[in-house]
Amino acid sequence: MTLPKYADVVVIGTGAGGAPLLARLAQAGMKVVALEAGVRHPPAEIATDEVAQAGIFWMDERLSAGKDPIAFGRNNSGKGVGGSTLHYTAYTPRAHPDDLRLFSEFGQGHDWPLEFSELEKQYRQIEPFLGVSGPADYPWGPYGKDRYRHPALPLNGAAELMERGCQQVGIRTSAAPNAALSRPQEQEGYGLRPACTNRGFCQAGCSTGAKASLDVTYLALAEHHGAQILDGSYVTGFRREGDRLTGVEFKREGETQFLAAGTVVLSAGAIETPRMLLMHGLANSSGQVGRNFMAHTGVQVWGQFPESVRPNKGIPGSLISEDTHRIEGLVGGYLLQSIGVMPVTYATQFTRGTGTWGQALHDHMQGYNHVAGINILGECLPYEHNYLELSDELDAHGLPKPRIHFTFGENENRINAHAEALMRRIWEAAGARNIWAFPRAAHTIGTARMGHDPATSVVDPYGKAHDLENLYISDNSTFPSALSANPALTIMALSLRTADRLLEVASH
Amino acid sequence: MPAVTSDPNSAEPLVSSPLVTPATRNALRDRLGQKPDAPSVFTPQEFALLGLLSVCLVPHDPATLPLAAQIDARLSQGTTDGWRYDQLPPDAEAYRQLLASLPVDFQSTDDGGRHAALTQAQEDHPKIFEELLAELTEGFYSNPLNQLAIGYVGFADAHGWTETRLDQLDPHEREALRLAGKSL
Repeated sequence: MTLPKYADVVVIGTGAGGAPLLARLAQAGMKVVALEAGVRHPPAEIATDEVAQAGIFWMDERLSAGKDPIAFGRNNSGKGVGGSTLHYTAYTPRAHPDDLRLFSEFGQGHDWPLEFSELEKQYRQIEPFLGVSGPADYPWGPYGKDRYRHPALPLNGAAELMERGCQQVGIRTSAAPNAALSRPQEQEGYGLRPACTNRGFCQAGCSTGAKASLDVTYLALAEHHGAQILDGSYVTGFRREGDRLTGVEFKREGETQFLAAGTVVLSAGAIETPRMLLMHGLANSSGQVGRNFMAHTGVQVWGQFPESVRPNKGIPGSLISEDTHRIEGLVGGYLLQSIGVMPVTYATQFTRGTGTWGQALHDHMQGYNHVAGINILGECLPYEHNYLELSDELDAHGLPKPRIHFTFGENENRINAHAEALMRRIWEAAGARNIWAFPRAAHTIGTARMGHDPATSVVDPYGKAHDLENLYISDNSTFPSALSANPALTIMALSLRTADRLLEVASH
Repeated sequence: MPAVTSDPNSAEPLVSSPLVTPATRNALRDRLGQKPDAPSVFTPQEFALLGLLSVCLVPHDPATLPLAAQIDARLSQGTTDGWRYDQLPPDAEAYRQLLASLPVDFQSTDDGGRHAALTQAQEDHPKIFEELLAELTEGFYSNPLNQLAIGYVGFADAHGWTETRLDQLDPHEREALRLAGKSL
């Protein structure tokens, strides 16, 4: 393969932040190249085996510090062509307008330096393109006349139980908006994506292409329009002249390569993006790179039911409620989601969460087919004490491992406590026994915040680094607040918005 | 006795059937055929102690499922699960600390004595204990024989499922359970 020597735009990372932008710029005729550290994982090569799928996760060791240390690896990380969307549950709720106005509403957290309508405009393009399946009338948020392209996916056992429990507790539920197809869809650059077969393995990779991971959607579109994706390409450096980057150095097949670039877009996620900026001394005149690290409050509550659930079947994210979007006395709120689970994930979470060992562990696992879970995704405020830094320990590339400090604040502890109590009530009402809670945080957010003021933010409202003329960041690093919604859809919306901006700048 | 099936071939009728995709079949056969090398990270004394500790934490038959040897093999390859508690040293050193904390008579004492020692170790070294327990649990429940033993046939993935409701078996699930010799 002859490697390109120059690109108008080089995108680092091919997940929800990099892929939509890559496609839009390629469609507009720009010469674009994406560098992806991981490799391609075509659907036919996906094994229905949690351990065999380790290759879709970022397995270089990260150090987790603080009182609520974040789990990485098979949680909160991704690698491969498609990035974290290879393993996302494809829950695609929109953010709410008030999610962007946290400071205005509560005097805490931060407002976003953009209007909800700017995200909404992109949501309306992304949802049908991905082929989101969902209910005819989504009960929360300002959807207006917008409708999902495909009918909702079938409910699975956990969803039925959550629906039953919520009815008794007085919580409204709805089939979830999910970017897996309930009907086949023709996808430009890829071909026909089939309807979801309810295999239930979304979180370790989709083997049919029914789930809208970005390899079978935006990246296929991008390549169809001439974009080049270099997989197995690990970025090792940047070249710079004054306030412009001139290109990117990377390792591929053991050789160091250089790619000259008109513009560089960093889309490596809220851990690797700030890690690269810190390692290479870029875009940090504010001192804010790596700061404001946030992770969604994400407590899970599990129970065992008399009925057979077989929690490996059906899309894991089947039912949703946003009735708890705002909770009296708390900053923000959360959404509730039913969860399916694979056996290794369930067993290891059970041991970590309860400390159970010995024969008692096996006794509990005999009930695996009767297990169902609910979890939340809730607001998380930024704090001084939550940040990413470079450690003195080196990884296999000889580069410093990142250390991520994370401790929930009072608001997060109260959200988790409120949610755990509510989910326990729901599960009791639904008939669960052996209820247990697994405290956790989900998604990495906010380490290169966007804002108008270069003294307190890293990038401007379009994702351009304040310090450099041609470096953009397009991923969850730039979120000023966490949003009480799964982030992928909004990351994609910001990605397209940044692409529109780059096209506007290029036309001048 | 542990849930592990003594006959590693008992999964073969299902694994070799058209109910399983080639990608999944290859992964499962790799797992079932794993023969870890002799330990190279731990000393023979440490390894013997780790083996006993492993059987106590996640009961299994090391002759058919060598979980301690798999840990040694992973450590010698230098692979990780992607993160570690910042307060802990690298995995091998952390596990050595846990082994060194066990009472000297851990191997010779009875079940009651070992249970008391492990309860103490979990209290004194909660994070290392958690890490080792999670790694052993993953090793145990990623084995298809142990997945079948809890009634899981999710790796029979070639068709997916048309039936996802409560208390309902999918036709392909029924067939997979039959091939695995499981009662419905």
